[in-house]
Amino acid sequence: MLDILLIILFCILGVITGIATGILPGLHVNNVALILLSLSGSIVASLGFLFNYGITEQFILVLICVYITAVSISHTFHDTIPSTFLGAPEEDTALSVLPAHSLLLEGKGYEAVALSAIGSYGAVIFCFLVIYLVRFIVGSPMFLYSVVREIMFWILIAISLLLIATEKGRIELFKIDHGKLPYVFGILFAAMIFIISGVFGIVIFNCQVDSPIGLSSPVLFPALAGLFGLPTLLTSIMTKPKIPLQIIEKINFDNKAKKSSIISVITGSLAGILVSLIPGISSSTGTILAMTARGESDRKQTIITLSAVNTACGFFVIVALFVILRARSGATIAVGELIALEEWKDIMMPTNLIYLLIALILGGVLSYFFVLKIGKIFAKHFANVPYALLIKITIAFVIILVYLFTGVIGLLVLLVATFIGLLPVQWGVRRSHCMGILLIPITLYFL
Amino acid sequence: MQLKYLSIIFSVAGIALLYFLSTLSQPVSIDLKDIQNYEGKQVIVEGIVTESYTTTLGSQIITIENNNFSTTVFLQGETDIEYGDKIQATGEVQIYNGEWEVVVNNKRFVSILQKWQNITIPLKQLAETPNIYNGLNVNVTGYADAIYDTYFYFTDIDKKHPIVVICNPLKYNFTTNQELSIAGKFVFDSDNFRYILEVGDEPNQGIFVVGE
Repeated sequence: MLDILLIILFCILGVITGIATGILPGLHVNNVALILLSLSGSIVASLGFLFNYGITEQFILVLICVYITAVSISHTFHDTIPSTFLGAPEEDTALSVLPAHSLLLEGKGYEAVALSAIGSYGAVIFCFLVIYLVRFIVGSPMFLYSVVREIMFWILIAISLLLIATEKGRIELFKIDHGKLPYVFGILFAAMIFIISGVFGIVIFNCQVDSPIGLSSPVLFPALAGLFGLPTLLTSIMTKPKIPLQIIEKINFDNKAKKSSIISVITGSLAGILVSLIPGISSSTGTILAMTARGESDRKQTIITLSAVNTACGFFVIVALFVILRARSGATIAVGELIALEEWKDIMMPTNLIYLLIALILGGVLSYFFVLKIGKIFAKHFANVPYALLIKITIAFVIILVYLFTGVIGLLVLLVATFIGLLPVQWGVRRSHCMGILLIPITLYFL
Repeated sequence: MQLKYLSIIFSVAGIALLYFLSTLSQPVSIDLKDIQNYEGKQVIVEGIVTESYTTTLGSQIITIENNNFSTTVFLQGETDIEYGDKIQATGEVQIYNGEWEVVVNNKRFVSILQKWQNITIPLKQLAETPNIYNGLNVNVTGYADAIYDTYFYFTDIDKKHPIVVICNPLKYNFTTNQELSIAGKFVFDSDNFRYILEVGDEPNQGIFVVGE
């Protein structure tokens, strides 16, 4: 009985931590997971008194994993708040920024947060319902993962081409502002950003970063913060948007919207599951896949879809850890380091996976209610907040974090990534082309 | 100049600068005994392959040995190395289940410095340090001694270290006292409590007369 109570307690603590890490702009859940991993020894030592109650050291490590899992799922719910109110997205939420931020500028910031919460919550339910189905398709007896691995190179090429070819931005060059040419320029420019990001990725993976506080983080942290975080913040400062008073009202879906939202959740979740299995593609790429698959680009549905992708990915990376024994995120790397990973081969799930599933589901349900509550508080008071000052503080915070985790080289990576990240914002094409940073090096890996 | 053009210039210049910096911070070459001092760092290690297997998910776990120290190389992918090959691996030092290992992301970062067939060792060296070579492919030089139907004795010039070579001598054209180079697997024969050399039909195994 004590063990279940402890699981619930650590799950609640994880959700609360996830609120903090989700609201703080620029702090990615992977960094949080790696910090917790480095602190795990001290955490076990400080919980030593539990040994007297028959709790083993192994179980304390399971509790830390439950905590990390709850943090990561709670983070995917709450990171919508800074992306809506500050326009400070991480890579995972970068695509929803324009829709969410534009709703904020119409006074519908709370609606954006609520739509995102619906998408994330729906994804948790959908993922739980299909967990066995995915398990049998990806693992034994169908072993789809092994098949996919064989053709991964072509899958990644196809995803890259889809990403670029679906660009709809217009770029007027050489004084041509009519016909199809501006669209062609848009696609060419998208391809250029994709390639620049890819070369950038290849180069930085050979750079060694050193944390001045001994908590070295992957070089991807400053790169993603630069590509997807700072450009929006800088643009916010430059454009000085006026934030209107926010309207807080319950979302009422009509039948059509309800149906559309269910499709968004399902396609988003399926894309999120795909993202959790295929290396190198992120939630934003998953969203493009999902939006292309369903052929709708309404901004409210984009928010729901993206949140579903984001949360489904956070959910299934944990499951994938036990099915394909691959860590696809910082949280799963931490979990893989802390507890024994027993491959899920039979009908019965490994015990450790059951504990983590409790964290995912309970964490998801709690986060849904918390994010609505916090979104309401933000919406109520946001018009009184000095917006420009808040953005400047956020930028300073991101820079300090980058320095603490990756040192001077990390700052340089952040600077270059910011210039690359400014390209799509300045030229008016999709920011997801910057995902070339992962897609190109990983495609080359499978060559 | 507009920011949108400046961003292109700074992006390309920044990548060039980072490329230059990355060439300055290349991984360091380390001895296996010092591996614990490099946690989280990119390193280059070298050693003889003493064990290798592929997991069900396609990763290769390679054990290498150098100067009586060994470590595990975890390769995300698969490469066609053989026991006894001298290899070099570049990857990040990590600790896994309390053991140090070098995690290599791509098979491009594992290179074979010398195939085991090209590392020739005298029989005397094999006799004095058998534990180092146990289970490995070796290429040994020595002299043919008594020849039987399914095996023959192989010894050094002073006939001090005879070893049984399991093979089909009729398949090869050599006679007693001829100097030979044998490419085969050095294994412990627990039934007879002795080390033997096995020469099978595998492509890289064989018996060659020196000088022919």
